[in-house]
Amino acid sequence: MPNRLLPLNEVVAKIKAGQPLLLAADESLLKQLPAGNWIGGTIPYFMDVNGGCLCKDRIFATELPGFISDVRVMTFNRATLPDINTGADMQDVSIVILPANSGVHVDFALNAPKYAGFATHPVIGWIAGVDLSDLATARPKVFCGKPEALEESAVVLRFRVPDSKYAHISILNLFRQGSGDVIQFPNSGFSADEAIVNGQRCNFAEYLTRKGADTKLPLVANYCGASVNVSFKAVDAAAGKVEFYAPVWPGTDYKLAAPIGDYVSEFESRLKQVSSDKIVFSCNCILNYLYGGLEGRQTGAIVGPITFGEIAYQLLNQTMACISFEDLG
Amino acid sequence: MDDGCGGCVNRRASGQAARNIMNIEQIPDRVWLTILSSDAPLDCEFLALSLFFTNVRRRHRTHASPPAELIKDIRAFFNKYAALPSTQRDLAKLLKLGGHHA
Repeated sequence: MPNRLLPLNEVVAKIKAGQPLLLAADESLLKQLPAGNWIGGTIPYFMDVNGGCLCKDRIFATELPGFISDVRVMTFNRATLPDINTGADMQDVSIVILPANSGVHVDFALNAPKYAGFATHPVIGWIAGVDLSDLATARPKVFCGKPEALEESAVVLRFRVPDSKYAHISILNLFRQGSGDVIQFPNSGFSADEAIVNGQRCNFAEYLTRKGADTKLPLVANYCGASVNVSFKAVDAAAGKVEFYAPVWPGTDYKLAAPIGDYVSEFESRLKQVSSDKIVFSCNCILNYLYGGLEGRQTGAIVGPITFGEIAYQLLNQTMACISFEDLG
Repeated sequence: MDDGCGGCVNRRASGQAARNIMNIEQIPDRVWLTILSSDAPLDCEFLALSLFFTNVRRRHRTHASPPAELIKDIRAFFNKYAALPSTQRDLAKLLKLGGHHA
């Protein structure tokens, strides 16, 4: 199954042949595609078989396995997004793309765990972005089976796997909690002024500045065995405010991540723990791409779009998310 | 890798765990309340359960939802994923934490 950068004409041919596709590319390319069973999101960064790259003249296309059925493409707005799990069971899979900084992105980040049926069917996806040099002018967009760019919608490609198989969603997070202070937050949100560090209230920006914290390393929480990151967007010591790429939550213990060595070496050592040849779709975070210096470097069979956020049931940061299919029983 | 189903392929759940799944509706509310209230660390194999259970524990801790609603959600979760061996193994761990002996 192709899972790689393809020229526009090859993608057009696959769509016209009825192939369900997950697509990622520069907006100018996605706008040229015909109607069909596909969803797409804007991003010009990719991990390709030849290494990480910025590419605006090809489309990253992921074909889905032949055994899937009942393929549908859907859009959700802010009012309907809470129903994203409705009517789905373990054999239904939803691939989701949200435009970064949109209302649906913020809503999903803050509320997905509160949606009815949270985590009761496999949900994976990513947050669409733009060329970092165009951040001030361009807006991330998504597409739902036709060349109409959407800025305020979530797009979903849902399909069914046969009863003999199940979808296996996993994450690869290079970061683990460090051995330092326990950090809590009194309120949920994408920013915080106040934190509770080892039980003592303090200004979080002042705390990070005083510690000389490396904010390329995320906050990490232990979610019943899964390490979940919250990445730093900005620390404004003067204003006493810290901004994040994902929300923090009250009632959750965070720690600054332990430092890691060479990103690619670490990634490769973790990859040995998985059957990467079975992965059908994966995506990796733009922060890993930047901080790990992934441009021009390879990450084995793990390829896909570089994203402004990852989704494995809920929004994640600085993480690789992937899906494979396994035999049941 | 935090495993969505923890190397569970071709491994069969224990008979005890399978029985737990079949009797999910009969597990008393007090068992779930004990698990929800516990601060004991959990290490789930199944990623969906790791995220789900962290969420219901948070909702319980912050009084965001009444216990009856959380228990209903937990039962619905396990009923949906009853066929997965990793879920069954995780359920067995949870029930042990809740002091439940089937």
